[in-house]
Amino acid sequence: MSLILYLLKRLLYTLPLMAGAIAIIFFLIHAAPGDPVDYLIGEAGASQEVVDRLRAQMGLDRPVIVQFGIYAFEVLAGNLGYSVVSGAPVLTLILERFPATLLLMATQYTLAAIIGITLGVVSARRPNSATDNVITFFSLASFAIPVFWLGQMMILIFGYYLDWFPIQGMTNLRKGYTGFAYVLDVAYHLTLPALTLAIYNVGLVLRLTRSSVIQVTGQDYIKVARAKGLSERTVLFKHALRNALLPVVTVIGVEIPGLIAGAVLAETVFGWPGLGRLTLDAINARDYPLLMGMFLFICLFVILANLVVDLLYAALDPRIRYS
Amino acid sequence: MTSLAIDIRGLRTEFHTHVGIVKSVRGVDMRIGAGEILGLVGESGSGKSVTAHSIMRLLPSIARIMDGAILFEGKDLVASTEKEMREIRGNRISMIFQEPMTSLNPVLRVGPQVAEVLRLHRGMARKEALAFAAELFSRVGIPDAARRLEAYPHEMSGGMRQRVMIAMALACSPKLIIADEPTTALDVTIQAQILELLRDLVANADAALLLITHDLGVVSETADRVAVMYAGQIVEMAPVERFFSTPLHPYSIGLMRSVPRLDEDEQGDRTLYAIGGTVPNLMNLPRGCAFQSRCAHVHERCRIEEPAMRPVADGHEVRCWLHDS
Ligand SMILES: Nc1ncnc2c1ncn2[C@@H]1O[C@H](COP(=O)(O)OP(=O)(O)OP(=O)(O)O)[C@@H](O)[C@H]1O
Ligand code: SF4
Ligand SMILES: [Mg+2]
Repeated sequence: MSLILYLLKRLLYTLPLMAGAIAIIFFLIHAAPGDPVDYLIGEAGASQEVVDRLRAQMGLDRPVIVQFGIYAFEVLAGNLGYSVVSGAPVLTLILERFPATLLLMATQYTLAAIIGITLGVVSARRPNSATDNVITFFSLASFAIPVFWLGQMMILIFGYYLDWFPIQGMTNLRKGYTGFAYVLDVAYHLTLPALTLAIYNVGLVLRLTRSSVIQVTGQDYIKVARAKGLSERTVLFKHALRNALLPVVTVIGVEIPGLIAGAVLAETVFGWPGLGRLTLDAINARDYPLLMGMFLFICLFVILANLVVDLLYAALDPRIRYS
Repeated sequence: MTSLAIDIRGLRTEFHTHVGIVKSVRGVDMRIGAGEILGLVGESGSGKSVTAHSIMRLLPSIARIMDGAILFEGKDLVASTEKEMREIRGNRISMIFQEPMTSLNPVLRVGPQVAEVLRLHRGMARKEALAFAAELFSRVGIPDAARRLEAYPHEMSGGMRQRVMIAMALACSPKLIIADEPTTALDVTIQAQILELLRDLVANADAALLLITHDLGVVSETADRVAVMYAGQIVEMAPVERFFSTPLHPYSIGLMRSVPRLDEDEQGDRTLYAIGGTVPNLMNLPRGCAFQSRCAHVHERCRIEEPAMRPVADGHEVRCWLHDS
């Protein structure tokens, strides 16, 4: 099967997935205690009349199943509704924040992948050597440390005591940089949150790469590669690594939802203006339309990210494409 | 035998494991003439593969060559540097492995895998190397060679993959090819084809072949000379006709009897004669002859002194007190 056909087939699979996601998200959120009206009127309270009017305005007085029908219909038409709190279109709110999150996630995961794979290979070259043990210790620590604590430590050390990096936000608003200076400014702000998340994620990639490389270097075709007279580096990077990366790629795909959870935490700690913060605010405000929009968006993102991972896998392993 | 392709003298290879020292190769002397096919036979664990990997210097890190010399093209491979060995591997000495199904890298096309050797040792450019690989493919009988270069290993049968491995081994016209059980994993008809191919190619290329097998049938059809290995030592070495007509070592005789005779009629005795007992522990060998616990002719002297290789006829040597004169 060609790569294109494979892609089309996978895209087709996403439709029922998304339909299921819409239903589950809708009913889960409506089953959660609390109600946006309670949030809007606040502690002071309001007369039953006002409450009823608000509920009617938002359509909350109708049976849940009718609400669902309306919602599903609107979503299919591309309308995710309006935020209860700000009144802005949900899609606009999400798309406004998405680039910041995407930037943070892509940067940190690229970093984690590069560091993790490199250290994993170094570790696997001489299992149980001193180098391997140091790297193993580091990877286990990286697993065990909670992101928010690590983030605060990074802020304390590199932001506060050493004062190398900014502590909060994505840009220096006062300076109002443009052009290349703006890019540099964002990169400067990005360093600490991206590094924090990368350190957190590096452990998994590293452990997987290590065991996978060790497993692959025992294979016959590696013996053959050595018997060809290739240098150890060529054997490792040309013949072993591509095979060793297959399980790593699979797990990276499975880990994407966890990545988003980590991003939410890191965005909160570093005041990063992305979807994580938006989600947190929407939860606190019981902003149903925004919340549902967020979750749907995350679902779509996870599904598409998995698609990319599958394509990457197919590109790495010719056996997949033909089966 | 005019000139020697390789001259191995007193090779000793040990594995230093955490439970003890495994003496896998215990003083092997072996010479292979240019263009000659030497069949190396012996039971599983007798040290055939370790001997081969010692020649290639491709031993795992726990293994060590303790003693001996491997003279090849004016160099002692035992004393050669890793860099010198890399220039020899795949170029002057190449190796064919047992498992064609797993010997090729599954994520790379077969053409470039063969071309890789040519680019490395012959400094050929990509295109040139691929064109040469196509030529090698047709030489080893892969039909539609130019198109097959593009195939991935999983798209080929075991027999075809072994042909690819042979093409790879032949690529740089090596002086010595080591084939470690090249047909064991293949079914019988394919086995015969591959052996015939190997024999023809080796003759044409004037390469020497060290053919490792535990199948005496393969040896009788392919080899010029036979070396029998037992517990890390060569116990008998002879030209192939001589070996099959007059095997001398009790172990060789046992091996010969354990081969099913296909030419015997159905009513005849087709049961396998198995040599009783098991291979001695290479970590803790008995004093004297290594075969004593399984030998029907064991006597006093066998338990005290270890026999040495003794010539008994032209090109025929044996390691046994029964033939020490
Ligand atoms: N990695 C290793 N660690 C410890 N001992 C080993 C190792 N590899 C081989 N040996 C030992 O060396 C001896 C010879 O092994 P070798 O692989 O050469 O046998 P062989 O004659 O090729 O057998 P086979 O017909 O099964 O391939 C065996 O007894 C084995 O226990
Ligand atoms: S030396 Fe003795 S024990 Fe060894 S093979 Fe000869 S007769 Fe048998
Ligand atoms: Mg072997």
